[in-house]
Amino acid sequence: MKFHGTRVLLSALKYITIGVFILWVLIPVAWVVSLAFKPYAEWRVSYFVPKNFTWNNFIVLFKSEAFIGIMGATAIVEPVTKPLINSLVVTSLSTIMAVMIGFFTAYGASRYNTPGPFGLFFTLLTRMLPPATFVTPIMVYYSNLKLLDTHFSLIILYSAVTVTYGIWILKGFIDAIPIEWEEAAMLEGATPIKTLFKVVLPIARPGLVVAGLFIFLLTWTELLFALVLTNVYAVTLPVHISKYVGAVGQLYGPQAALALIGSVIPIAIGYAIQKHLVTGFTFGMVRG
Amino acid sequence: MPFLEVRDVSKKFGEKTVLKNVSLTVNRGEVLAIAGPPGSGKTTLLKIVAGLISPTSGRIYLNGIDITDVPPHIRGFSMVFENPPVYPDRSGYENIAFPLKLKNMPEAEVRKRVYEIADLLGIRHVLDRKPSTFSGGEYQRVALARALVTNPAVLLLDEPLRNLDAKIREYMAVWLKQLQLKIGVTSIYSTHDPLEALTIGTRVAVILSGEIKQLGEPLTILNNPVNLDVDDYVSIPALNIFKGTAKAFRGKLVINIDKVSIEKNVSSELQFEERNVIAAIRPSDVSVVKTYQSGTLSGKVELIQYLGANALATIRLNDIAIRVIIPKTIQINEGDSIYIVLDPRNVRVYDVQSKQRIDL
Amino acid sequence: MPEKPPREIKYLATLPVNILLNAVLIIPFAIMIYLAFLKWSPAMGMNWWEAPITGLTNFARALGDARFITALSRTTIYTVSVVTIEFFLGLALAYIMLGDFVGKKAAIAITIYPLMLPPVVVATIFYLMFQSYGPVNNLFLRAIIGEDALRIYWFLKPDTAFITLLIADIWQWTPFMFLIMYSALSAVPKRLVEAAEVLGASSFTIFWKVRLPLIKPLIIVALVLRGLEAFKMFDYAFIMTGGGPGTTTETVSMYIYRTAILYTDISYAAAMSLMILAMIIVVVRAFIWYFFEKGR
Repeated sequence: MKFHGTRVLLSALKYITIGVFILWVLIPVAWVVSLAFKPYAEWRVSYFVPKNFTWNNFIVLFKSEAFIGIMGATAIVEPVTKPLINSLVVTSLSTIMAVMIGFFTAYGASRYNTPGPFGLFFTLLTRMLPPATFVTPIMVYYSNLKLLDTHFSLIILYSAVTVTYGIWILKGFIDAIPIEWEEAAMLEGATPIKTLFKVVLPIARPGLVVAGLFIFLLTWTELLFALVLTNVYAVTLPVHISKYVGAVGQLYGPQAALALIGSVIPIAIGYAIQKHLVTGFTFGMVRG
Repeated sequence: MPFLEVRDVSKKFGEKTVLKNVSLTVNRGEVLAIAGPPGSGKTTLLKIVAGLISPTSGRIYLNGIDITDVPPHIRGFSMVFENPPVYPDRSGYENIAFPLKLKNMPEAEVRKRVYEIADLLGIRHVLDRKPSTFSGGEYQRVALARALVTNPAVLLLDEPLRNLDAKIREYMAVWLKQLQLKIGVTSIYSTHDPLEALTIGTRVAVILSGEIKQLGEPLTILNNPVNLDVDDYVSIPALNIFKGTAKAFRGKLVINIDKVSIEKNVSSELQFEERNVIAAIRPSDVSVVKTYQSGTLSGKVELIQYLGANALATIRLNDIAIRVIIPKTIQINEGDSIYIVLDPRNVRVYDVQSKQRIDL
Repeated sequence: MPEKPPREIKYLATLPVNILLNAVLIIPFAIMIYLAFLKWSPAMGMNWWEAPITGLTNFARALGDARFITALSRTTIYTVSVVTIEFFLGLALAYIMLGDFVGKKAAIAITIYPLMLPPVVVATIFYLMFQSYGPVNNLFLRAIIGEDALRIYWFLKPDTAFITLLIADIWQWTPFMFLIMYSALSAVPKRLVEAAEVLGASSFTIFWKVRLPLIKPLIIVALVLRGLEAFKMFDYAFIMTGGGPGTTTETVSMYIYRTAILYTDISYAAAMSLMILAMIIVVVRAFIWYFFEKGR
């Protein structure tokens, strides 16, 4: 009897703990979701479900008008359309670049061990070191090259920083393709380049998608370099979000709405590649 | 002139010698089966013939022309690997058409050839499906179709049936043989299973530790192995091997194993003094009778193993244990007394050092 | 496959990556090394390559800079705290979720989603959560200590501000540790687990004595990776506390950022950056040596 009782107790404990954790994970987001749909009057209440559901917070994000902050201070924020588009453009292009370059490098590494043992380790280094420590020279460098506040500078910077992930994720996928498949093609007359593009690339396509989505996720969320390198013209979404703190007044509603907008794509991607998240974050060292 | 000739090919990988002075010939339209245990160098040999690997020494000739330095895709050979190139991201049709598209063949011609070969191999129905839906047999046949669709001068198959399960393997081996007879493509077929080689090959080459120990027709290899290792490799169930002595004199070979003496007729040119030898006889070449007859040897049944259609009995004759295949018709039990009938013609004698045959 | 790559492949596999990394990262890195030994700021009116070399003055200054040292120690405390807490929470969670139960797939799917959010968004979420009229005060604490809860200004006191950062990080990254451990623990070969079960081991013993030791290398990988990321932290501090009140929640990354961008004291920022880089390399190397080589 006692044994059975302990079993039930442990089981209940297990479910309770899991339940508590799920609540812990859901509540902050639930709050933000509720804030996003609450009108100004309800921003400081303690209940979750808005009494007067409104889309206003979202609409306001896209306009350029004066807000009346809580302290009566006014502030003007640019609409979020430009940062959104910038983010989409910059992230997409740098992702494509990182994936393609990563693919070629990974192929060489997988089949021929190209950069040699040190080379590959070096790519890991680019992720180990804090971005803040690179901010200084990058700013100077780009400024000298007159590349500040351009899409181009962000695109190449992001590719450089994420290409490492591309290499490691893709190498895993390419390793899984039997070499005989390429040998057969070469026996049938394909040049090595043709084999790369007509055999390996199509078969590795799922890997390219995973790598691409993962890198997109990382790049979309990047704040620091964007802060440093952009000003007006090439501002990205994370930078825009950062402007809603402090100086702009306490625009909780739109801020929450903005947070939601910024989360949609990452969450969609996150769930799409759920199985590969672990592999990606750990450079292939842990298989999800 | 043989169609394909491998002359004195050796291959070393670093310190390791994988192939040693391999020479063989393949005649046009025949199947040369290369049989050998895993690690004997079969795949390396095939890859060298294909041109994927260069030999450390030796040459390859096609119709008398030296093709050793010719790149693989110009040789006009096809190879079916163990991990056949059936690409998962495209349909059966596209897989088979791949080599033709590489040669920039016009679409109409490609279609014609693919359908032709698909019909021949009986895989029309998988042409518009993707490989994840194929059965094991269909998979192999698509790989085969891809290899054949280019009308190769030589078809190389590297243990193509290895990944199939036993029942399908038997069926496919016979099917392959019939196919080859129908199409007539010169083929080199490697396998670790000696019986498979003997079934499929027009001629068989036995390769052990990187050397060709014997090359000849299947029956010759089976009944007249020139080397103990070949004999051992080809015998299933395993060969009975005995240490003994022998001497040859005036057309008679006398073999002594323990207290047993066997006399065999041999060529009168064979003459040697008593020397140490190894004698071998297959379990399937020994029979038993339950009652004494003249010329039989008396022994006791020690162990019985059931093999399905018949049994393998280990029978003790004084200090020797000999394994014998017992047909179903004879009932025996462990501990029984039994009489062994040995036909001396089935006993083969080998030199202890060189392991070469000495009773021919 | 030939041992050496054909020329075109070799170029494809090494040139683009080399050009990219060199042009975008390595050259600036070289520049940074040079900058650290100068005394230069754009405000000085000359180009950096014209500025006078002053040797190790920047480095000496950093060593004596209280704000730098404090930021460094604070960031270290932050890193150690979050990594430890996340590790244990993640491990506990992984253990609990190991067996099969109703709704397991959904539970896992929900617990891992904080990972996917942009750190900026997480920072925003907790910025909103910890407002004086936010749910942390208004809902939870109010139930415990009444109306006074509304007067807790999380971001105005150094200790409470620091706590908010810890919580944001733990909220977002515990699932990371969980996921890694869970994957690793699940990957332990069934027969080892079954062998122990047959011998009568309880599920806890199996966990502690069979699974854990086997995944030790992966745990180390996870800890190192998470530690490196935590040390880099910028987004939370920037958004939630702005480094404040004052500079009391300033991380090393923030301080360097401000020195370079706000105070435009470029060469000093460069020197600090180099010092941090050197420290990280040394620590990681030591860590790896300790856990991988000493254990032999």
